[in-house]
Order: sequence, then C-alpha cells, then structure tokens
Amino acid sequence: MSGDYRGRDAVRGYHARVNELTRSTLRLEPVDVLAGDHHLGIFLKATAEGAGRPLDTTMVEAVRLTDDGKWAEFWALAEDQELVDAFWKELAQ
Amino acid sequence: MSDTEHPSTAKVRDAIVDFNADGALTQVIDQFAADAVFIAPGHSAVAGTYKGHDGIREFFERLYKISGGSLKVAPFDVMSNDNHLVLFLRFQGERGDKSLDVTIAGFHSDGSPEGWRRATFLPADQAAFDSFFAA
Repeated sequence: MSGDYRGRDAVRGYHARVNELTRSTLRLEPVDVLAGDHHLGIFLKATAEGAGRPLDTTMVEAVRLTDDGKWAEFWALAEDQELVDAFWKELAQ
Repeated sequence: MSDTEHPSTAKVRDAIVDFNADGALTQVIDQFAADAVFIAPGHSAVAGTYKGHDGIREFFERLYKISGGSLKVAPFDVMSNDNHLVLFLRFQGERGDKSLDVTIAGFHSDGSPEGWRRATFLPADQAAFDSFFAA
C-alpha cells in the first residue's frame, strides 16, 4: 500500500482498498496529536486483522496544513515497518 | 519563546541555531537519553537505526559531511508536551549539481528524565532526500 497518492479521489481509493483488504477491521486510536501553525504531528495506534499475523503497531504521521486548515500533504511511518510491510504483502497475495 | 511554549520546544530551537552556526551537535545530542534509538528510514547513505549518543552524533555528522557543510536547517513548526515532541524542519543544501529542499518531520517519544528514548526522522519526500544523500 506504500506509495504517493495525489488528490481526493486517490486518497478515497487508498482508504477503500485498505477497508477491502482488512475486511474493515482496521482500527486507529490516537495516542497523541500535536498541532502547530502549519502542521500536525500524530502518534497513532493501528490494529487490524490480516491473512496471518494481525497488525498492531504505533504509527507516526505528519500533516502539512493549508492556510484554512485543510490537509495538503500527509506522510507516515510505522514503528515496526517490517511488520506492516509483511502484513500488507500477506493480504495482497 | 512564547509564554506557553514547552521547555522541550525551546531546547530544539536553541539546538538548531547552534547546528546552523557550525554544525555543533552538543545541544542536539543532549535532548536524547543515553540509550535512545534514532530511526532514519529510506535508502540513503544515512539510512539506518542509530543507538545512543554516539550513534545519533554519527547520523548528524554524516548528514553534515555528505552535504559538504552546506546543510541549513530552519524550523517550520516545533510542538511538544511532556510525552512527545514533533518538529517540522526545512532542510536545504547543495552538493555538486544536486540541491536539497525538503521538509523533515521528526518525532520524539518515550521520554525519560534523561531525555527522549526514541526518535524517527521522516522526510516528506523520501526519494529526494535519498537522492541527495546517496552514497
């Protein structure tokens, strides 16, 4: 699922694909959200059922905001990226 | 520093001023506990997991050296509370015919009285960062 997604349709498509692959089991629980003038920093716990090992990791997520507070750019990394990569690989097979 | 700024935020700003002056790292390193783990993802010559003060120093020294001392860091946003610190930085540099201008998000967590015990260094454009800091 890694890659660049541009525009609302692509973001919608990404989330639809995530829901489809995880059979809507993905749960996101915010651990902490820090807001600045132009950015958000988010610590998030992500869990989901998969084809093998379940997903259970903390994510760090960065958001750049527009002047009117909309999300202009989002990028993220899992604390255990190897687990996340294996999780999606198993689901895609 | 505003009246409401967290002390951790002020330390980051001071450390950036020091780093920009001559690559000084003491204030950067002092923010981390002795057993801190620092994660730099991607495929550049600086990608990896760095441990402890010596490891984190090595990461920043490599950055500075590969950039030929051209690296300049400017804070966009620095936010912190007692549990976490997040900073958004503009990294700019010149290296031969390459130029760098990317936003870096830094996430510090697992705080202890000694300092942060975990950090993740996450470029918004990982490919551009990896290209500039290629071996």
